[in-house]
Amino acid sequence: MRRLLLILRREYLAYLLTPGFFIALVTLPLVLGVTAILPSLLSRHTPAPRVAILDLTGIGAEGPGRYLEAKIREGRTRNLPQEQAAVLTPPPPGMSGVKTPQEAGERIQAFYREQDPDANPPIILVLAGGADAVEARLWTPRARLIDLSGSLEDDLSEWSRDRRMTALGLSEADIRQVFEAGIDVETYSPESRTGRVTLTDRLPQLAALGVSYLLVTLILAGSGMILTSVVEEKSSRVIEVLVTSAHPAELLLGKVLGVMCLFLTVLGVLAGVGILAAGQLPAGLIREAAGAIFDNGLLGWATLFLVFGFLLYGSIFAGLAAFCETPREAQSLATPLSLLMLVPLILVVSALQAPDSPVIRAAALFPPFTPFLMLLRIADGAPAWEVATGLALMAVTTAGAIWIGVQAYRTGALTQGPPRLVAILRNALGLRA
Amino acid sequence: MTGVPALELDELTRTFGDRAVVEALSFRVAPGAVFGFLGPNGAGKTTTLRMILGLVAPSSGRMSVLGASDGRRVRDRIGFLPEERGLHPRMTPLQAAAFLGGLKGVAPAVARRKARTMLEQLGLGYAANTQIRRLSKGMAQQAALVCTLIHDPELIILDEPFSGLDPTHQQGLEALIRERSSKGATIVFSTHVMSHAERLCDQVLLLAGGRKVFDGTVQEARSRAPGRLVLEGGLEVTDVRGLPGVIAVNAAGSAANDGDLRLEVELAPGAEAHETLSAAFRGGLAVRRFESRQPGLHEAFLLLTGAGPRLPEVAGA
Repeated sequence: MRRLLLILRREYLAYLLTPGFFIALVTLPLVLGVTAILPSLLSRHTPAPRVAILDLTGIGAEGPGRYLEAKIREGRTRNLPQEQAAVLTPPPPGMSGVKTPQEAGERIQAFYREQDPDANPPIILVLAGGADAVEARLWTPRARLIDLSGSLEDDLSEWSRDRRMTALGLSEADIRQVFEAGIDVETYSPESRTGRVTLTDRLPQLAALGVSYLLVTLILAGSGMILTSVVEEKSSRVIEVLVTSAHPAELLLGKVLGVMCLFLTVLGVLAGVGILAAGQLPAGLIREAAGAIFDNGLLGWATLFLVFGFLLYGSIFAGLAAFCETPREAQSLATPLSLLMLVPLILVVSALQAPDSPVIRAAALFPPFTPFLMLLRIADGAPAWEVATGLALMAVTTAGAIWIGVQAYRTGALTQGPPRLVAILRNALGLRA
Repeated sequence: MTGVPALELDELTRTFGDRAVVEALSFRVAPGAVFGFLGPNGAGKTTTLRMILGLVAPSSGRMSVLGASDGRRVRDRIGFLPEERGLHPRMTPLQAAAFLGGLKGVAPAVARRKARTMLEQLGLGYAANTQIRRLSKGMAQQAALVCTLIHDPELIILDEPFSGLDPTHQQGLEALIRERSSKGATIVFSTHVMSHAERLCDQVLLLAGGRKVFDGTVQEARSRAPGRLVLEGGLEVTDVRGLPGVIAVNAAGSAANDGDLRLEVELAPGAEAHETLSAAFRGGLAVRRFESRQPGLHEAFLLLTGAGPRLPEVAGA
């Protein structure tokens, strides 16, 4: 135990007392913050789409062209967020005298060819046909620009319905009543604190999802650090001195736990900052979201799964790394295991839709996935027997992984070449060659 | 050899697949002895050391290391220096000594104090707080040696400790080995440089192809090798061949005087050069110059490992 603690301390301090660690600690919340506001920032700085309308229907002031122009001018275009609201622009020159959509199309293509694509050329909506059958073609200079067709389609449909209801003799007030006659469906559940299901009720699930992603990221990053550390010791022959100074189990566990403590420190700092920040937040959804992370024992479970995850994956990574002389060799050996860790990332998305589906329940009991998926099951109110079974299976598997990792580490530390299962088992069982 | 040995190997064998790297190796090392483990590259020296340390399981045979069945059970009483430097590159010598000393049960403050003293003795005091990756190979090797000795081990195992050291550092290491030996530590070191073994060892073991070819003192090893006598003068090869103790006569370059011969006379192991020389004078051989060459451990090594080059033998004239 003395040696294990010494190795743990060395590994922990070797990373902690570096400028890189402090830089990472400060930049991590910044990166998370920037990631959260980046989409909004990006869309705010994206030039608004310019729309020109060429109405060939001949309906005149009551036609769809004028209706859409009014909507766009007043910023009432449906389904578009404020920052992406379209800007009305007159049709490009050379469109006068155009009679058919085909002719318009040819001239628009010629117009686009002359335009600089970076100059934000307008999107052009060509309306044709009669009042009862409007044909609409939307021309866009680049196929990958924001597609406004859905939004314009909704507005045109509204114009069409409005016109038909007027033709049927309905007054403007009647038409407004028709449009406002929608019925909202409210969801209720006995599991909801208020009875009525709101986003607040889904917050624990969403928080568990976020923490699951964080666990995968931390364990993947930590395992990579363990891998690199062992390879460095192997290539610099430090490992030969270490295995004569301590038991391989002490060396391996000290290393894994040292890196784990480092990440627990990071989590502790982030949690501390989070708790302080949550206390300052005004009541509302963000505060409730913070509460969903810091209440309900989620952090306690996350810490437990972080420990198991580190021991499980870290031991295997360390064992594999002991056979490698270079980081490249180690990475290629560890890639299948890294890919395995990505499977839960895919499953957690499904778990959000149906957290109690048989696939998710089974996957949460599969020990390599338990650290990442059981959190979601717990947030969904999984029965105690299920959680206990998952924990027991994970504990047994983790103990097995540590044993295999130690044997592989012991064998790999003093051999050259790729790992051979026979050699590992022979060494583990104390069999003589 | 009497008393309980510090190290005893009994018919120890290690095979990898069908190949025996070490075969039925037996020897004993007395407490406090300096034991040289000699042999050409690939002779099985490192594998034997690893078996002693408990890092590699023997395929068969038994051993006793400080009374235990292998080194793992007494790791706190052993100090091991591998052939490569074996220290974390980003640690300083003081940090490494505190860490490795800690693993062996030495308090960090004590380890640092002892390490500083030892580094100063080795002339490396100024590098005590320099990261090991910034030290030269020889300096890093010295730092590793300090870490090996930090817990005052009873059994010190050094794998090729002199490789990479300049003559000054080699001399320093020899002094350190003598000092530790005088304090009662048992020292086992492997090398293929005979001069160190010759100066330091109470006992040497020669290994070739995984098998023991010699185990004894340096003097005993030397006596296995033929002594040599260089004779120059108006000599007849047949007369020289007839002298007592002579087993071969070889040309040894040109003589100082025209018409004279310069011959290297190979003596039988154990034969005394002065007896051969007396017989030459008694027999009236015209010896104008003579030179006696005592066999060194190097000659013994070459002879015993079967790697010795032969000088061209002079045809009988």
